[in-house]
Amino acid sequence: MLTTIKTVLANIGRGPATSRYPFVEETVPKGFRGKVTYDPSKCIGCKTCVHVCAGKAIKIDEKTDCFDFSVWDGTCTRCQMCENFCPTGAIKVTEEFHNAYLAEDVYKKAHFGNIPYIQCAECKKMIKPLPEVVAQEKLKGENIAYKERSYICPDCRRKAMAKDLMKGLAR
Amino acid sequence: MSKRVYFLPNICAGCEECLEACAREHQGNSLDYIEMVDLYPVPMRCFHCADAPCAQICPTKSIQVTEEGAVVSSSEKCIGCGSCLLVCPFGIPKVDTTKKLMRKCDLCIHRLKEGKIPSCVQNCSLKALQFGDVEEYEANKRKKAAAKLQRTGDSAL
Repeated sequence: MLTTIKTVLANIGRGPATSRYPFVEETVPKGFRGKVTYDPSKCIGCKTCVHVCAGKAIKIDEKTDCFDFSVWDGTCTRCQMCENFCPTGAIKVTEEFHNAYLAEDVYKKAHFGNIPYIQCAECKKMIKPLPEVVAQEKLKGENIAYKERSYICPDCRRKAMAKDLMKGLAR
Repeated sequence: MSKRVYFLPNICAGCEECLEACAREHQGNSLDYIEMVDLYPVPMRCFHCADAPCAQICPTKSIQVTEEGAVVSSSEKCIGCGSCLLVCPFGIPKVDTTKKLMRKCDLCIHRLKEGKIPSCVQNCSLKALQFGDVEEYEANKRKKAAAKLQRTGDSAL
């Protein structure tokens, strides 16, 4: 009896163990894996995330003039594999933990990204673009030789280069 | 200066023997190209840039510049994203979409380690492809030009 009273008194002194969540700001522990976000300006469309995704929540649909990226929040298992494997850091796991939602909000909870292809100026073939952010981050210094012919596809670029080489020879 | 493959387009006859030789060395995939400019064939292959943009852009660090000066892609690390293909000023890399693998000239690195010259150079029947230093090539050319000048000088006297 005496121990019970002691415990009760001690607990009263300590205060509540839970927090009044909706009314108070809640923090998550370090390394918490929450909702996935996607940055289309960094995506190179390599499909590594599709390959490693455990719940098959990530999809990339390649169409004729664009590719569509989608993450379904309800299917995501929060395994963080996509963030670990994404070579450019386009996918990030946030600390957001509000995982419950109404069925009508399914489409609001999914992430969609649409990246249009660029058209080759010579052969009219559609080519996957290189994100400007990634190019600036990775290419050091004055190494921008590709920029002169960035508007044409690799095959046309090779042909143009061969032509240039022959021109140099004729001179 | 590392050794590279140089080509003399005015000698090349466009027999495509180098493509065949390359395919024999690389499991049936030819990594070289022959581009026709009007009537003249121009053999194109990786130029093995010293400061290669493909090696810089590679997100998985699969493309590396080796000690021999060759720009080599490892098949284990490559994810076939095609970034290298977009930054190459010469348009050389090619992505195998079924295997998700980028393929490009590796300067026959396995042959170089054995002390041999690249397969395309060895099999070029007209010697339009040559393997060596740029300085070596320039020195040879200078010698030839000097000999020519001497001959014309002799005939003038």
